[in-house]
Amino acid sequence: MEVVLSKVAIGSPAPNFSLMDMRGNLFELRKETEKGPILLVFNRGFV
Amino acid sequence: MAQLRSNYKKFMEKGARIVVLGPENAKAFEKYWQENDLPFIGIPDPTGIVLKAFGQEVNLFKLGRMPAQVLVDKHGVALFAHYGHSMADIPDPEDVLSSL
Repeated sequence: MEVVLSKVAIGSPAPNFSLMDMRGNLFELRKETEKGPILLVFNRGFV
Repeated sequence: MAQLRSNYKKFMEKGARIVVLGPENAKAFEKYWQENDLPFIGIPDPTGIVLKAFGQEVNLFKLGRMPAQVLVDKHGVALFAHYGHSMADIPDPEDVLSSL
């Protein structure tokens, strides 16, 4: 996965990534967005 | 996340899904999801690899990761991007929905 230190701008490609979700399923952004738009919510934490 | 949960149906109606990333591990995510009855996909990012890729700010003086939301379309392009400057700086879900 590419390392990008700048914020993503509207109209620009979002960095692809692959991570296991909380239930152990592999999530790859590029594949999942093929099914429809995805809102990525970057949370600070649950505490 | 309560606002997103309340508006989740509207996102689904527009064919969009919501994915939440955070610093906790999978077990903590699962516990929080069950306690709060959340319908979203949760992705643990404890090493911050996705956080860094998307430029989410970490501000130690403001107690850690700043909120950020990025809406990605079917072609992998960002339709909406909001990077919060404080913990309370979270976009209105209606603003995100209007981008769909």
